[in-house]
Amino acid sequence: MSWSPDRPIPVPRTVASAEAEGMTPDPRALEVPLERQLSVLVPIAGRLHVADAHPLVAPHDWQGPAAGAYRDLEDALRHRVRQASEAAEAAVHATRRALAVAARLADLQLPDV
Amino acid sequence: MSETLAPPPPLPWLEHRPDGSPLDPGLGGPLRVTPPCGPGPVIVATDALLAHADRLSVLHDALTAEVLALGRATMQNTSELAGAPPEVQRAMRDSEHAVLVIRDAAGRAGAAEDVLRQAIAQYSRAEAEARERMLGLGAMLAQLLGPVLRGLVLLGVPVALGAEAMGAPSPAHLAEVRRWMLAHPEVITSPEFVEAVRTGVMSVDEAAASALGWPAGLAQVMAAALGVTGVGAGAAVILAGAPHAGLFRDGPVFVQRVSTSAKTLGPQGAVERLARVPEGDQVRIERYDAPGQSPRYVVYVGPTETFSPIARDEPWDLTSNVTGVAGLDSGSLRATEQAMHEAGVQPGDAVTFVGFSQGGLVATRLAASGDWNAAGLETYGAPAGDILLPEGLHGMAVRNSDDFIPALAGPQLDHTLLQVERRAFDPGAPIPTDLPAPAHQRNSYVATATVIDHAESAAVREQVAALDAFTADYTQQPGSRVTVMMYHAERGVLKQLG
Repeated sequence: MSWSPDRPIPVPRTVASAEAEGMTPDPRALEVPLERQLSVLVPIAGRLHVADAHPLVAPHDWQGPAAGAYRDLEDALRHRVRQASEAAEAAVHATRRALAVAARLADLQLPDV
Repeated sequence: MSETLAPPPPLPWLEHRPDGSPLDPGLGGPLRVTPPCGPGPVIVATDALLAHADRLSVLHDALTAEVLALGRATMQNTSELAGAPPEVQRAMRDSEHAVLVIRDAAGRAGAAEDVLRQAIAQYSRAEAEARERMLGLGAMLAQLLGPVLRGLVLLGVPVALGAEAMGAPSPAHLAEVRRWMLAHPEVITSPEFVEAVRTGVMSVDEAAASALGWPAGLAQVMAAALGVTGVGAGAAVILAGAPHAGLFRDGPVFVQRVSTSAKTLGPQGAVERLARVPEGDQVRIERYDAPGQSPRYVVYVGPTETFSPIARDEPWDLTSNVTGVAGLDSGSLRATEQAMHEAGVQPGDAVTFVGFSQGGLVATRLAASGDWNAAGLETYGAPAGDILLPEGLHGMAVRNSDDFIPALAGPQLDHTLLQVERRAFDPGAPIPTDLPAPAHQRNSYVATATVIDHAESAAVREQVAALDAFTADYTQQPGSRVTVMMYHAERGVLKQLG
């Protein structure tokens, strides 16, 4: 199920289940690693977006059977770079959503600090 | 008040063309590049294809670096965020997925680069094999031509004697040859003709041996035993016989410094270096001084000044061409060395040699001699492919593939220096009819140098940058100085005496 800004975030249940399982009791501890991940992901996604927008194309004057076989590889590479760009972009969005969740959890637990 | 700038003086090479216009680089083809490879397999590819392989390599490295960075961050977080809420878990999964997909893309980029370089290697092997077959065919044809040549020699002896008595070859004959070449530029301005010349010059010794009635292959065995092979053997045969007919008689040379001036900058790029190759005065030496460092020199050697086979005052003539191709000390080579001594070049001083046509042959011979501390070499249209160079030289040998002059040295044997080829006139392009051998003219090489300065492959860019840095390393320092010395050489004992 994909995330939507309209859908309520099930904070209490998540915190409860996490605490019940003895994991990550402090939501504020989530933010540091997530921000670190985001700081790595954002420039990577930017560079992959540029690579996707400017795919490598072999010189047009290269002809022959080897050139034809190579162009199939080039198409596959272009496809993979696009997938990589989309995956990095998706990871950026997911990390931002996770940070938002962590921030809300931290807000809810503020009195305990 | 508006300032009016005077038009710049015409560049020296433009004087070659009556209309003064430089050749449009767009008339020619792409650069074909052979990176230095030493004893390894020889690779020939277009600059664009090599640049494409370079970009694939960069992409592969960049994607691999992304995988490492993101993988490291994701792995660290996996341990720190175990049991986190589902949204956080999903962010982790997405990040891990991104690592896998980027790794796959990196693998694809690496595989594409491998396939491309393998394809380039296969093309290169096929081309080398075809060339080998051509040379073998040429030697066989030369053997078959032997009896015909014997007949021609019998006819030729009285003709040669008569010609000598009349002061041959006659200007009328030379003028006729020139007229024919001008009228049919497409015949001699093609890679096919160039390959025929290359094959033909390699077979001169076989043809001569066949004419003498020797069995096939004996000429090569005997030439190798004497330490001369291929084109050098043919040129040596010519030099052994021609002086008796009054041709190719070399002699002492006299060199004089004709001017000294100062500059502030060295040349940047292939076009600027080629523009400094002199004509008229045949040698230009630039001395670069920087505080506290040994001087560096750039020696520019000019092209052939006259194509008369009869040696007269001008050492940059056909005699020096043939002598140089034979691997002997030509007048132009000795004159250049005299100029270097006069300029104060010491054996340990770093020198870059730059030459065009015969100047390229002289420059290559000097760089290969071991007598000078050669750091760089840049030649244009030089018949010098059979000269083996030391490793570690920066620079390049540039040839127009439709220029037959470099083919006079036979096949390319040296692979320690970057080789750059380009067709000066693509099929269908208008070939000038105002000068013989259009692809060998300086403006054709200026067009090729222009394309070199815009090359994209690392193989070419690195060498251009290294040649630029040779002078810029000094001129960028405070207190640096550039001294330009021009030399004029003449042949003749009387000139030498005074």
